[in-house]
Formats: sequence, structure tokens, C-alpha cells
Amino acid sequence: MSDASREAPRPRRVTGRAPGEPHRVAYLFLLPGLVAYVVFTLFPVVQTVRLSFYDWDGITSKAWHGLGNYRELFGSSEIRAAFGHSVELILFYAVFSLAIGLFLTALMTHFRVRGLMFFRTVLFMPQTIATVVVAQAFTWIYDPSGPLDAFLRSVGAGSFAKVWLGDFTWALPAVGLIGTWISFGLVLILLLAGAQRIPQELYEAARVDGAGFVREFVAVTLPGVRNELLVAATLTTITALRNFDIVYNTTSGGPAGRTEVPSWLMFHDAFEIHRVGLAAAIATVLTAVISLVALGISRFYTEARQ
Amino acid sequence: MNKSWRPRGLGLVAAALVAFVAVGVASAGAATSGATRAAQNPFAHYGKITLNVWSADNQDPGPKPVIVALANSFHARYPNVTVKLKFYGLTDYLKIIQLALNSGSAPDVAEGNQGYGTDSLLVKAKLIRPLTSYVKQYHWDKYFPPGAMAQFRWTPDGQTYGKGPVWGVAQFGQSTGIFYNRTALKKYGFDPDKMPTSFAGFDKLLAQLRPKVPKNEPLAVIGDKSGYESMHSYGLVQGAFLPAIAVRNWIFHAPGARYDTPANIKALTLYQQWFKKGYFGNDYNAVDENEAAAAFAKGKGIFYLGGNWQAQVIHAGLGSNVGFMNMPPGPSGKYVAVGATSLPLHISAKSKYPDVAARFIDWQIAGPQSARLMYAQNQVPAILGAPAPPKGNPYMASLGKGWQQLVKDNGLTLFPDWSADTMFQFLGAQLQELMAGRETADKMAKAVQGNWEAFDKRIHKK
Amino acid sequence: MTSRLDRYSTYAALGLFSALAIYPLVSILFLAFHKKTDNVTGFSLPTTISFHTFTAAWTEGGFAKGMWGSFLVAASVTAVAAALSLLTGYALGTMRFRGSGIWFNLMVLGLIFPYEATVIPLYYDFQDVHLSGTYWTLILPQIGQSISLGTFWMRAVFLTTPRSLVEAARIDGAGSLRILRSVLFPQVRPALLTLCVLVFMYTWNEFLLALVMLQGSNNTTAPLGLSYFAGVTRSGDPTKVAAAAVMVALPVVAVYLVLQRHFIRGVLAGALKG
Repeated sequence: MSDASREAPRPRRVTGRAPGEPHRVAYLFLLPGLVAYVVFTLFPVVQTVRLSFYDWDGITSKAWHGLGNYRELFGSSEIRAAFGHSVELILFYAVFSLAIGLFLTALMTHFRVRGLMFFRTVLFMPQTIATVVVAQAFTWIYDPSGPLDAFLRSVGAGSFAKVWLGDFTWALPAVGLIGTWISFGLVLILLLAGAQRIPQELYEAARVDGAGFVREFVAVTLPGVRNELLVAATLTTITALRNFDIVYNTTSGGPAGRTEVPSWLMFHDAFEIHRVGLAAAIATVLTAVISLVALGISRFYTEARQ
Repeated sequence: MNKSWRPRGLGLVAAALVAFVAVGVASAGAATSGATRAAQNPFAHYGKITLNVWSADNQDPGPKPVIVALANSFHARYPNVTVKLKFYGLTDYLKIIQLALNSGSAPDVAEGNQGYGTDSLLVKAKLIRPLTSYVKQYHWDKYFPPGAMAQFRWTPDGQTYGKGPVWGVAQFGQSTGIFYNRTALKKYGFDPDKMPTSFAGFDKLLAQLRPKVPKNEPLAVIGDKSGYESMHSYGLVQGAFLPAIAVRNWIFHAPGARYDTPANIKALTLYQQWFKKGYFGNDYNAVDENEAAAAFAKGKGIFYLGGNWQAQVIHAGLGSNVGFMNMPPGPSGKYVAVGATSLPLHISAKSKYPDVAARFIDWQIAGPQSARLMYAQNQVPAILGAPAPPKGNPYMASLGKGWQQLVKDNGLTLFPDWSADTMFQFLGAQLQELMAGRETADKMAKAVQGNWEAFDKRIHKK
Repeated sequence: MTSRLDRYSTYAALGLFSALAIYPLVSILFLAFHKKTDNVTGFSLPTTISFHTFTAAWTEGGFAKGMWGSFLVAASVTAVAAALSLLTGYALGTMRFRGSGIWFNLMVLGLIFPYEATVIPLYYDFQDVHLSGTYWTLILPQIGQSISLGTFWMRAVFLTTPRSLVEAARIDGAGSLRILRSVLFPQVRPALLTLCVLVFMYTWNEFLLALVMLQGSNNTTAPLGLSYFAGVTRSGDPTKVAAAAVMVALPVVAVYLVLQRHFIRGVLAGALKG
């Protein structure tokens, strides 16, 4: 943890113009990246919104539909349920991950842990594995003849063994736990990054005051990682709201729609049952929700550093 | 000395004559064999081409080796045509085929799916060609009686099913029934040679088996992860309560057809009871159709209630320990089950070689050795007048007999998901709710009818 | 002063979560070493280490093509996005010009937009320009999206570079490009490398975009190939699917393990909206 002693460089505000400092040439540097971004990312978002006002099967011609798709969206119990599932998944992807991340951060800041690099590497690894691979691994783990049920039986909890991904009640939590597994490493890395910048003196002062493990965490660590916590909360919440890959490769929204999420519905409606306008409406609402969440959380974000 | 010249001269003339005649004959022969060669390969003028063919009949063993073998013999027959086959799982295939046929890399020949879920859009968007001229050329109308041919007919706007030109023809006779594990039946004290001859008898057999079989083992295996397999097993129950024509009318949107009839609700209630009583175990939602058949082939369960396209997969595992039969008839005395021909083979509107494609389709459904190849994989040919299966294979005989019985009794209900564009997923999900005891039969039937009616309005409005 | 109990329980907790983090990969690795005919249940350890499932999966799943496709896309996107982000980050992080704040906020908006928001029109747009099914359909959108991340990242890095160096170089008459190349690039190179690793990883693992853009095409990526392969093969042979899954995960995991030191240090070096 040699970096902890080094003070983080103070961010420089770009104020005032030094002699000879260019301004117009800035546009030249900006332009290529900006163009690529606008053409392939920003413009398609606008197109999606536009498509949401049409009735289209993707092959024959479009028909103007006004707000019809939105009316159907908000009136459809299936689609509303899908958004509800996404919110439930936030519990797993964000809340549980944050809890685990905070807990581990508390542990790792309490004293100098040996092998920190090793733990960080291992705990972050789930983030690097392709979601399709994760889906295959957990499909096996959740299989009735797989490790989870075998484990439950071996500790005498055989009655709890289930067909997890086919269970009406437990399929969604099972999918959620996959998200927890994927996310907690990211949360941990972010929080540790913030914790590293907390001056050791603050800990020492707290300990002198007699703070125990919990108090030192709440009084010193938590405020110090506030920004990182918000970034982690934002990223994990957004991932929870999206979550296409896992659903597609494990349950396909089943059983009977119990694990449907908006991104999966969007894909299904656009490319499987050919209702492109409705799919675009779902995509638009999803993006709006994600944007609101991201902006909402970032409101608590402070630029100021300690 | 003159004597020796004349014969030589004559000899020369004779030789010249012979040579002339020989050359004449040879060139005439060359001309005729060239002509017959051209007749033998009417596609030679295309030069070297590739025919792209897509299929969802991916069970191996089963339909897939048949299709591959026929593609190979097609290539041997028409050496300038290379056939490139691509196989997908059913649900994946249905997702991509419409957009694929609309793209720049559309296959020449592609299976579709009968009904409003897939073929309707293919016709409406003009992605496939009407096959009228090829039906005439290859006499396909002799292979499919009018009732069967109706499943391939659409009006060109894709709205009315069962009328209009023919847009595809199919290869295999695919019906559903009961595969039973003979050894397992004997183990629990039942004689596999004395299977029940009525639906009530089979229902009773299940009830008798359940207490004898360990609780955590299912009696019947199905794989309903994708939702559609339950349509097959439900169809076996429904057949005891409804005539096949009732289901077909509903699929073809005959006016007044309903799903929530008292008879159907009774059938749904009984089906739900089977799940409540634990006949199917509880992991049927976690595996898909192919996985379930494979598990049955490895010895899981006593019955597999599903399609005959799984026959070879099952045979590969259970060997001579497996038997097949249709669900025995209900009170009507007629055999009824979900079944139809396999997915119809279409010709893409974008294909550069539609005549080659048509010949390929003809080859697949009725080409040389096609029936023999199908029987070798325990598959049933769809066409009328196919040669009978070879003797000495009782398994194949029972599969063939099952199909014939249904055809004779006009008992093929076709597949209920054909009835609306979203019915494939909707009915599957509704059945899942019913099977899990989360919805009453009454509510479920009404929900399905509601979906049908919403779609019915749309097709009759346009 | 931390007690023995504190230490042990800490290592125990860390050990537990580490095990949980690795377990899923390990479990499919074990599954891959089994034979198709084994009745694999629960925790069964493989009896032999044989790679025949891997070779079978490789050929049957067509993973040579998938790996190549993934590599082609990931490498192109990384190279271009990194280069363009270097430029945009440089502009937004060192130069003052009118509207720079607005441009920055605009470009960062892409961090919020998921591919779900763009994939539908992108599919049809590419069809209109006759590019559907080609790798361009993956490369171009991912460049666009990665530039959001890249700009955010590189700007933050450039903001931490010492102004004095830049000013000195300007006084010496150096142009912007020269300053970037000679003065600042060495400073930001580690962070740039980190960005490359991140973009490479995200691009390699991207699934939704590949599924939509390459449906029915002959081109494929490793994750997409795995998804199709699993759909077709898992019923008959889950061991082969497990082998395929391991192979698809391996490249990124390998890159991560080799570069993780650097990677983590980069993340921790304060390139977080600093």
C-alpha cells in the first residue's frame, strides 16, 4: 500500500489561458472522436426514440402509431412486470454487492493485509469473464444434478434443493445472485481505490479515541469512500437495469416470464416477434430510467476532495 | 496384280466407310449422350454454384443425418452444385430466419414454420416464392392430400391461412406420442406388451404407477424450458376430449372457433391434475426438449411424451428397451394428437437458382433412397405413397403405424402455436402457469382465447 | 493493534469470498474434464485430465472462426478508440475553449446509454448500407461507445498532468501535436494502456451487439459462438459446452492475469473522475 502515502495529485482546473495556448485547434483533436461517437452512438439513440412512434415489423413498411406503443407498454402487465423484475435485480446487483464490497473494504483497511494484490486480483476476476461463460457456469451450478443442490443435500438441507432456474419463485433471485457474483469485485476495487486516499492519520486518530472496527469504518472509511461508493452504486444499478446477457443465456425470461427484464423484452419484441416499434418504446423507457438513476445518484456526488 | 488391288481398294473404301460410319455413329452418340447429359443435369449451365440451405431439424441422430445424406447424394447427382447446410436449434432458428431471409445473405432454401408465427410474415413480406409451378412439375400434390396441403397455403397477403398458392412442402411426418421404457415398466410390474388401449386406461396406468415409483422420480419426462414442449404432451390429453377438427378450425381461424370450450377446459383440468399428482416430477422447466429426450434415453422416467423426431435419440440410448405408441383414443375411438409434417421447405425470393432449390426440395422429400434413409434413422416420411419400412424393425414399424393411424383417423391437430403471431410464446407460458398450479384451467383457456381474438381482429381488419 | 482473532477472521472472510469468486470457473473446468458418458453430479472431480472435450468443442463449435472474429473486432476497436480518446481527452483535459464543458458532457452521456438504446436502429442502418452481417457492424458502434469511456478516462488523466511542462513547451514554440507527442504522451501512457485493457475486455465480452448484428451471418464472435453451441449441444453433451466456455473465457482472463498488476494500479492511480 505504498501509494497510500503519496498524496493524490490535485486536479487542475483549466482556467485562464496561458500565452500561446490554442483554442481552435482543440476542435481538430475533438472532432474525429466526436464524429464517431455521434454517428454510432448518439444518433442511433435518437433513431430509437423515433422508431418508438411507429408500428413496424422490420421488413414491410412502417406505419405511424403515435403514442400507441407507449400506451401498450404502460398497459401491459407483462412489460410492467419486467420493469419490476429489473428493480428487484437492483437488490442483488447493487445492494448486496455494495454490502459485500463495503464489508471487505472494512476488513482490508483495518490492518495491513498480506497478499492484498492476490486478493484484489482474484476478487475482481468475475468482471473479466464473458457473460455467456458466466451463464454456462451458473446454469451448471443451478442444475438439479449440479453443485448447489449437491451441496445442500450434503449438509442435510436437501429439502431446499430446487430446480432453481425453473422455479417460479426462485428463478429471479437465482439470476440476481449471478449479478451479485459478477459485481462485488468491481465494487471492491472502486472502494479500495477511495480508501487508499484516506490519510492514515485519520485512522490513527480514531483508534486513539478508542474506536473499534465498526466505529472506525463508519467514522473514517465510509465518508472517505463516499464518491467511490456513489460511482459503484451507479454502475451496479445500471447493470441491474440492463442485464440482457444473463437472462438470455440462462432462462430466456422464463419460467412463464418470471425472469423477463426490459432489455430482454426489447430484443424479443424487435427480433423474435417482429414488433419493432414496441421494442423501441421499451428501449426508450429503459434508457430514460437508467439516465434518471445515473443523474439522480450523481447529484450526491461532490467534486471537492478532502 | 490387279487382284490384289481391288480388295485393298475395297478394303480401303470399306475401312473408310466403316470409319465414316463409326465417326458418324460416335458423333451422333456424342450428340445424343451430350443431350442426355444435359438432360441429366439441367443445372449444368449454372457452372459451379453453392446452394445454401438452413434447417432447424437438428436432432442427431434423427432428421439431421437424413438431410445431410440426401444433400450429399444431391451433390453426387449434380456435381456442379455444392450444398451448404446450416443447422440451428428450433427456438434460435425461429428467431433469426425472418430477418435472415430479408438480408443480403439469405439462404436459397430455408425451413419456415407453418402458421401465423413465421410463415405468414414470410409470405406477406414476399421473402419466399410461391411454389405453384414446382408443385406441378414435381407432382407434389400427389404427396400431400388436400387437408395436409392446406398447411402450406397462404393468400399472398399472408393473412388467410389454408387458402391460396402453396409456399412450401415438408419432409418428415412428425407426430407426438408415448415412448415407453419397457424395462422400467416390467420393473414396476406392468407388461409392456399389454399397453392400455384407451385413454382412460393410460390415465389409470399412471395412477397405478405413481405410488410404486420412488417419489423423486418422474413417471413422464418432458423438457419445457422453452415453453413449447408442453403443447405436445397437452395435445395427447386434449385428444381424448376434443376432435382434431376443433383444434384445426381454431388454428385456421374458422369463424366461431374457440379455445375456452367446456371440453377443452376439462382436458386442461385433467392435465393440470397430472402435474399436481407428480407424474412429471418438478425439473421439467429447467431442461429443454432435446435435453429431456436425452435424459429419457439415459433411463430417466418411464415415459417420454413428445415427438417422433426424437425417436432416434431415444433409440440410441435405450435400444430395444423402448416402445412407441400413439396415445390411445378417448371415448370417440379416434386417434388424435398434435402433429403435422415437419417444417416446410421454402425457396427464398432472393435465390438466384430457384429451379435448383426446387429440385433440392423434391430430392429431400421424395428423392432416391429418401424413405430408406429416413427409416434408418427411425423417422417417418411425410409423403403419401412412400415405401413401407423394412421388416425386422418393430420400433420403426410402431412409429410408422402411429403416423398412419393419425392420418387415417384425420387426427393430426397440427400445432396450436400456428394460430397467432405470438402464440408460440404465449401458449407456452400459459401452459407453464397451468402446470405449476398457478392458474385455473378456466382462466388459462380464457387468456389464450383472448390472445387469439386480439390477433383475429388484426388479421380481419387488414 | 489488531487481535489475532481479527486477523484470522479477516483472512477467512477474504478467503471465502475469493473461493466464491473462482468457484464457477473451476466448476466448469472440472465439468470439461469429464467424459460425456460420465454421470456427472454435484462435486464429482474429474478422474483424468483429458483435453478431448476441448478439441471436440473447438471443431464442432467453429471456435477458430469465433476467436478470430472476436480478436479482429476487439483489436480494431481498442486501437481506434484508444487513439481517438487520446485526442479528445487531450483537447478536453488541457485546452480551454468555448463549450468544452458541453462537449464533454455530451460525450460522456454515452456511458449511460446501453447498447439496448442503439441496437435496433443500428441493425437496420447497417442493412441499408449493405454492411449487415459484417464485422463492421460490431466495430463501428463499439468504437463510438468506447469513446465515451475513453474520453472520460483520458480527460481525467490529462487533468492531472503538470501544467508547467505544457506551458514551458509552448513558450519554446511547440505546437499542440508536438506537445502531445513528446511531452504528455509518456505521462499518460500507463493510463492509456489501462484504457486499452478495459476496452479490449469489454469488446471481447460483448454479446448483445453480436447477437443482433451477426444473426444468421457466417461471421461470429467467441461469446456468440458459445451461445449457439450451448443451445444446440448442451442436451447431448454438457461437458463439451463447459470446455467451450472455458476456452472463450481464457483469452481475457489470461490478459487480465498478466496485466492485472498494471491494470489495478491504473484504476487506483486516481483516474476516477479525479
